[in-house]
Amino acid sequence: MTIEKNKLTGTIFNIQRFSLHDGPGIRTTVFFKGCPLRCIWCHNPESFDKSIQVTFDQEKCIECDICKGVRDISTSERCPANAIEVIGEEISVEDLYSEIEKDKGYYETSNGGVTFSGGEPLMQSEFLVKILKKCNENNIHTAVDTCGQASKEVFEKVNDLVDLYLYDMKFIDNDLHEKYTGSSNEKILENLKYLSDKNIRIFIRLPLIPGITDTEKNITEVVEYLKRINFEQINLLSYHGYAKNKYIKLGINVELDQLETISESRLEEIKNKFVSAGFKTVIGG
Amino acid sequence: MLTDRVQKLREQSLEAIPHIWIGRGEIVTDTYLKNEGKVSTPVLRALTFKDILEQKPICINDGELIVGEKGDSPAGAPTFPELCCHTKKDFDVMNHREKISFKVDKNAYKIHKNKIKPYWEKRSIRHKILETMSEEWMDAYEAGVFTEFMEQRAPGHTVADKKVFTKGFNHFKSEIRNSKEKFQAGSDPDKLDRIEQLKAMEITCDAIIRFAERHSEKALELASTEKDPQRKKELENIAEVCKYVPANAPRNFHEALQAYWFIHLGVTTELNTWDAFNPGRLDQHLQPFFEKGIKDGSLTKDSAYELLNLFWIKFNNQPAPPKVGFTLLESATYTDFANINSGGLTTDGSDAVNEMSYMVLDCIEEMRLLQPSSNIQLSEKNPDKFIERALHILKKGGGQPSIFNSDAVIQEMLNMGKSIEDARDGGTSGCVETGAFGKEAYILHGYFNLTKILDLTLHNGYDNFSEKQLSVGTGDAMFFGSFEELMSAFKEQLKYFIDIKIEGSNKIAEIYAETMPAPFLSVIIDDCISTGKDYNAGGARYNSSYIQGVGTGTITDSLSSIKQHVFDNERFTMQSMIQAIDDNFDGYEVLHSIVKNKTKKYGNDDDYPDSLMQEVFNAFYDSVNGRPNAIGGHYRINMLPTTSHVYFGSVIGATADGRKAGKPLSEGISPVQGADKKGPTAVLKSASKMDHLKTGGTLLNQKFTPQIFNDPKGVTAIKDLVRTYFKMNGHHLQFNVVNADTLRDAQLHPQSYGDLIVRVAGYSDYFNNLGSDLQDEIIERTEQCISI
Repeated sequence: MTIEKNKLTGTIFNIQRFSLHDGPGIRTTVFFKGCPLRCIWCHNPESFDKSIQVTFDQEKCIECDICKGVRDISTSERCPANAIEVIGEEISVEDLYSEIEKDKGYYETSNGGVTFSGGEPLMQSEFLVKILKKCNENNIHTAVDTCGQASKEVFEKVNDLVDLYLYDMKFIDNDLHEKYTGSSNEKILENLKYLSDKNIRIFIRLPLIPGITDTEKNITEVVEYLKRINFEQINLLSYHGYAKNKYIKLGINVELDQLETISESRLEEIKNKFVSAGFKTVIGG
Repeated sequence: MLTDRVQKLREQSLEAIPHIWIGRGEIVTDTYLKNEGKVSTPVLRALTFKDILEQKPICINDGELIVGEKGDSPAGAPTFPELCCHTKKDFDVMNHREKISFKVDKNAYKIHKNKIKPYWEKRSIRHKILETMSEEWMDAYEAGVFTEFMEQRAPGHTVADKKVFTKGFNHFKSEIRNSKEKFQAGSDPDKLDRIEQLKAMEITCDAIIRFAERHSEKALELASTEKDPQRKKELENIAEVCKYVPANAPRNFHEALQAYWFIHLGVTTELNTWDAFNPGRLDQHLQPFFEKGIKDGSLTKDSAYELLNLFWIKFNNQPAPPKVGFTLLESATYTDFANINSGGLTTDGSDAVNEMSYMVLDCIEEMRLLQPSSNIQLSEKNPDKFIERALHILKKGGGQPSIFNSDAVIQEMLNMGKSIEDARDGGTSGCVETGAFGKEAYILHGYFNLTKILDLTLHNGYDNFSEKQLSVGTGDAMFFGSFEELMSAFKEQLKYFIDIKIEGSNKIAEIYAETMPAPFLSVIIDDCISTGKDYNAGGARYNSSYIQGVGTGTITDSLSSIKQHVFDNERFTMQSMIQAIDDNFDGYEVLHSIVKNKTKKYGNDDDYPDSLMQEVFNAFYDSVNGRPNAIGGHYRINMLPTTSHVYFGSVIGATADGRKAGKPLSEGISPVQGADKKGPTAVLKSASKMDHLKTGGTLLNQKFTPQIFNDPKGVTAIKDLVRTYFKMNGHHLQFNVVNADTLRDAQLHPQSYGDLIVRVAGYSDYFNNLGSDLQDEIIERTEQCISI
């Protein structure tokens, strides 16, 4: 018997078990590193860059000098106080699968599974295809949480392997999209239409950022747009707090000084708009 | 909805001040003075029981429908000088200590000093035990290697089955007479002993019937002067109920509860058995009475519910017998561990959840009392609705009901050789202990400090705490060349102390069998009547002796740390590790940081530490399981701590996982507080790598933030967590639903949190009743939440 060892690796920055808000049931969410968008409200700025990053926390440092001032992957491993932190890891399909498989029993009881999120998982499509296949072979339900910014060919490669897309939507207005995410939404909307025509199972996810995505205009446009799309439900995501410290630690420019949480009443109002349009609408993931 | 009557009596129960009722001690002394040496020991015990029940004051509280107190009034705690003769200092401590205090009045001091103490000082079981134990046992005991349950409390730990709800004591008397006749006619070599035992049992049957009649008489007396016609009628009804049960089999719901309550008082008055007796599968026992009452119109759902509420209050009126010394340290609580079961399977193996199961859950939710403790037995065959109802109650905090894997509990019993029917009729009691209700003596012998054994191994058998060479030398650990060498030394030390423990436990069991029979308890536990043998002497159908392992997480992480840093990565030597723990990590900051932050720890679904947990568990199991006990059964293990993980931590220096000297150990089979970083699915996976089916119970607590339960997906997810853990044969799971911030605030402002109840180990308690070390330990437990 020969087992071909797959040398292909992916770059991820977290594996979150017991995720309840990234699709149905109890799930393990794998966060891919690297993203084509730069949404200014992003919680996970560590997902922006695909490369592995090293951060240093002066407050944790106990000045043991084991690192001799060199802060990299190898000194991070030896750092007694975890002051040198590596963000991201290269992981093989096998190693990632063995982490995913650990909670298989919970997926079976709860009709859960694995969700590939990020960052943008479709940016590492070759790796994604391999890990999706592995999950498919082992009857693990798969979801891909995507911002939609990928080529049609990439979708074509993964469509048959994905049980559910969590498809993020921010703006219909292209100028606003460019302003707040750094990219045009042209391809994103095109891909959504394409998936919709293929009758693939989709949950739309709309982040509600006060004064940015929750405007009357944007909500109305999203509702109108979605009337032409086949999807199962829409999830309205409210954001709590802001990862400002993460930005500072990573040396990324802070564009949004503070992120307010949408009020309960506004959330209900928006929910009603989607419900009136006949959409199954869920608050939260 | 609680009725006014229930609310008033509940309030009274909460406000009652625990106090010593010295009357029992006085009566016992009188009986012994009069009869000792003139009658056989079982008969002497039976006469003692009879005298107490004939002479103790009868208490019927205003508004009550279910009657009878263990003491003179609610929260009155009798003393048991024949088991533990208190000193004046003990009374002073009880009277004045800040937590778990009992008021002792002047009269009690006087009677104790003049009458009780002079007689019992040198005769009590505690005195005998401490006199009989070997030097090795005493040294290990005083050093905190293990505790001894029976040093001041009698072997109990058993539960009623359905016979007490379907038969009366007149019937038991006829069974006893038949058995006696059988032995009289036969040629059994122990014939005379058996006949004496049966004679004693018969005396106790008459005594309990008379005790009920005294309540009947008292009720009539109160009725004769009662002005309120409604209450007068109630009192007359109480009189009738108490005249009929427990002499006869109960005819209705009210009589069923009252019959059980007299039996409960009987068992807990005869001796201060560990883990108060309890009615076991209450929903199964009550359902036929409920159905009958509803059908014939004598009962409504509301009236049944009120009676059930009143029954609950009776439990809460009885604080655990006052404990002193080490026993207080291992079980520092008023809770007496009567643990009511609902759900599970019927005798024929089908889903047992019925209407009463839900009524019991309603009662738990609304009464919100510490006692009785309660649990659900959850089988794969039970509907989701049942566990969802239980989770809805847990959501409010308070830690009740706890959740047991009925299918695993049954399998555990089968593994110990019990019949499938007896297993299905059983359940769990105390904290998490598996038992065949009504047919088994499952006696807990004491907690065992696994982490201390590692500490002793690292110090070649020398104990830094008691400054004594406690055991055999197994080599200087500083020079161990491999991790295997350390493990084999550990196993040798473990065996050395288990041998000492078991030898001591056997002697103690013999002392009880010979000098402290329990003829009343024997009447209601099969097969004591047919064998003519006492419960304490092996008369039960099954006789199991348990030793409870403590500190799973701490010992696993400590071993993992040594394996990883000393032997696998060679980051530092064994010398530095031992020196560092001996110096409580002072001057070893780097090493301390490494062991704390870099060690692979139990609770993260990582086979590296988890396999070490299995190795320790298996070593413990192999050294205990299957060894014969003194009463015809076998030793078994279970894994639970009550509050002993705090005490056991206080007698150990620093440990290799980074824990500082004297700090609490991990609780139950839970990971070390804060060591689990990968969420609840990982914790449950790690815990399930222990072979629960080889035990008689394991205890796993998880702390969840209230937010999870408020999340629309949260309750379903928790249900799925439980169901999955149980598919992996997990025995028990319990939740603390509280924020650490709330607990911190409660420490600062105890006056604002008088009703804050938390799950401690296999029981719940008022946060304010806990010592500050235990409060801190609970705060430090990992808080499971949902990531956003």
